[in-house]
Amino acid sequence: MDEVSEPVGMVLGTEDATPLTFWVGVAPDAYLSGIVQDARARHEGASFDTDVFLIDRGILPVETAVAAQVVVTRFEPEIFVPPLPGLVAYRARGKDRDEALYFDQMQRRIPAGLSRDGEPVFLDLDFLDGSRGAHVNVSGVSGVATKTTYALFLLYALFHSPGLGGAAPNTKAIVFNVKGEDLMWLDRGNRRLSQADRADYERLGLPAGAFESVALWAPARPGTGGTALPQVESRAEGVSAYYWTVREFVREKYLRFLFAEADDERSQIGDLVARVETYLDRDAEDDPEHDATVLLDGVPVRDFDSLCELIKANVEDEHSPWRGRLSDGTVAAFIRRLDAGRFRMGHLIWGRDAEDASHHRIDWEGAQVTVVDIHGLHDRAKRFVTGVVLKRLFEHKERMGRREPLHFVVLDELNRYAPREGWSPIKEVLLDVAERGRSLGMILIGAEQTASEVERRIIANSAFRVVGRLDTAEAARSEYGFLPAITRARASILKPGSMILQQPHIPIPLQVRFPFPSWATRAEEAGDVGGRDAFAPFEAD
Amino acid sequence: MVSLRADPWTPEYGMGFDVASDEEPAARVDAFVETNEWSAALAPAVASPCPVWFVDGVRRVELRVLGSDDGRRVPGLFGAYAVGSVRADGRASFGEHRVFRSVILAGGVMPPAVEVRVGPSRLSFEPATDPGTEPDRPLWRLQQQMRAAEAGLAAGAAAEPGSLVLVDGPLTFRDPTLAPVVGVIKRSSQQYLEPEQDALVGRLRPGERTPLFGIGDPEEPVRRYAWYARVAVLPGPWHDRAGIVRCEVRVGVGRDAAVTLADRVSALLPFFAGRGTDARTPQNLIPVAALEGWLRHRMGNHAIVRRALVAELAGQEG
Repeated sequence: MDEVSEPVGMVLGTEDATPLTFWVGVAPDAYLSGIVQDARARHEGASFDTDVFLIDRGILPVETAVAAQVVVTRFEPEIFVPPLPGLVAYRARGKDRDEALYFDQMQRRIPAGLSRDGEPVFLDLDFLDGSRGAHVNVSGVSGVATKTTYALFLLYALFHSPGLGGAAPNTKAIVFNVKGEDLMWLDRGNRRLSQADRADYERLGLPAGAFESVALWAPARPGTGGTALPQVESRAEGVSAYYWTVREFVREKYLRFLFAEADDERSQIGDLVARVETYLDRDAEDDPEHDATVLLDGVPVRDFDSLCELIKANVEDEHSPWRGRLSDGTVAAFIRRLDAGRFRMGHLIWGRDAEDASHHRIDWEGAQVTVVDIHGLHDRAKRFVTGVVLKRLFEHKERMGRREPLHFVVLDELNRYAPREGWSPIKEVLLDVAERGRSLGMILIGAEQTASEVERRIIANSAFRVVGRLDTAEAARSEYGFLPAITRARASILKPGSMILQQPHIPIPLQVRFPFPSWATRAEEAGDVGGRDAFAPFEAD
Repeated sequence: MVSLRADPWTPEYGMGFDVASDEEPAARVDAFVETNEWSAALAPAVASPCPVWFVDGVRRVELRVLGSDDGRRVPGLFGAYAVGSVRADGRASFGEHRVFRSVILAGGVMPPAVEVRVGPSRLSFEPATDPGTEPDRPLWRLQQQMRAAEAGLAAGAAAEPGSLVLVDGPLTFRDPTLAPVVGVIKRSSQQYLEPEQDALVGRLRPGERTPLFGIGDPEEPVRRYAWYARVAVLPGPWHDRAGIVRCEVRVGVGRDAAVTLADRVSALLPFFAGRGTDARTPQNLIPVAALEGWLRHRMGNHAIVRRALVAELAGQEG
């Protein structure tokens, strides 16, 4: 690639050139790239709409003019003078391009995709790992916006580029698989990767392969008793089943995550949940015969159903301290939701039939990327799992009290877990992550279809805003105010694989294209573990 | 009963048909150089496609001046003219063009060459004089310069074998070349034909033409072969001479070549008929109208040039 900037046109004098934006007449056979906001073409000398037909028939002579509107990214020195008409415009390459896009100021950077001229675009790791900022938020229409794929691409780039340096091996990521079983193949190379895709990875300075260290977790299949089997369709081996024990449920106060749908903050159910959690923890003794259960009043709680019955009995008893002075209405609502919850996720809390429970507790330290599959679970169970995992991780980070090693969390459907309206225990955890995760080294890569439905502070705390294909009405909302009008319009026609990336350093969002995943996203694509062997023929030369 | 028919040109341009009703044929006209048969129009077939060049020029007075030479005052002007061409060969594109600037005085007084700066460019006005003393002589001289430049450009275009060159306006006769250049005249300002032949003109349909007729000065041999052709038929309230142009070629091309040219040009003209929005529709052919606009633009902004000239003259005063 030629690393020298080349002239492509001249600053126009027929349109106002201002310090921040100007038009460039594009020389024939040249095209512009980089921060071109808009481009236009017109017939000069044609004055009527119908002239175009005369021109086509070779009757009316005209000249065709192509011009591009350029938005300025950087001034050195910082003096805001407009470029003079007639000045030559160059396509920035090499060092000039790095300066224009502030890449020269990024001490540590990771590739974030390719710009439309096929050159890498970087993001500043300082703003991702908490040094100066943290968190990524991705918005876009489901299915077309490729939000999760992009989030995983960022993770892949993070783990496979030198940006993290010595911290890389200890950096971990937890990825929630919310749809399909797309993420259950991260550890396999993608057979369908073409030679062109491979070239993309090469330009980005990344190997083309699978994630190297992956742990896959799926919920325990209901009704298996004794041995926990993962509930997963597409893949039989390499997936661990997860569940929690009654004892953990009591000791770690997980009851609240059974009540995790968004709620009015004035609701008293929250008070009752907190009381019940406290009394459960206080009154329960560890079961000396089984480490998965507890004793209440000296009687072992055999399973989750028994625990729920005990809770029910205690809150329905007007004289029980568990209940306190809460009204019958609150108690009834509590029980209704407890029953609904236990029916949906009871199979994730095991009692005496748990064997070797510690092997079924999600362990995010075991591999670099931990995939937690929740896609097949009922909505309540999804909230429970997400809430429990996030809470455990956050508490772990709080106990550690330092930023490194970093933990990344990839969570789609943020609007479900941290909705703009109402309160929920998961939202509380997510807000904690958004606001304190930067200093605790817990980085959220969140995604949602519509940022307008997600808690504002979570969006506001994201250093990186990424937008894929947006619904036109959604794009008009103030949450996307960082997108200039034309970029906004473009967001409604973005193709899968293209994203608009806004980062703190660069005053203008950049459109990037990220390569086809080099890891498998379904069984048919899955190559060998690690993904490299399948490509040995290509790597030989 | 008196009937009224409209003329399509906008009034500032006068009428496309501008012939005094009582005027006698002024020149020597020979109506029978091609045929004696004037009862029916000739309807040539559309010839195979070939490159067609349209050549035209525009001129502009930048500033009128009064020259004085030892107490003698003569009228003059700073002027600009531009000539250019459009090549149509399935695709219409602007060809070569040239811009000239002149400072002209009447009465045989030669002005000095003048150069002014406008922004980053220098405009050089070449000196010229006209022996006449009437106030409109400098403008007439400017017109002659433009016509000569047009003729030069047309001859150059005609050098391409097989091409057809149409010049806007009558041919100049100073140009001795035999180039097969066709002049296309938008405005009828002279009565050339006797009433019995002239009746055919109004009956022409688009693409049709009259037989050739020769034109020359009285008592002199014929110098041009001319014919009338219809560019477009205008429905509605228009008179029968609307949309008629007169074309001419030099006699030197030969009678047979002139017939061939007349056939090709007449069949071709309707394709390039001027737009309804043109002030001289439909005789002002589309490529010519576009070329004129383009050439005017090439002469630069009138107000800026005028201001620079006034500033230059003011500087000389001081």
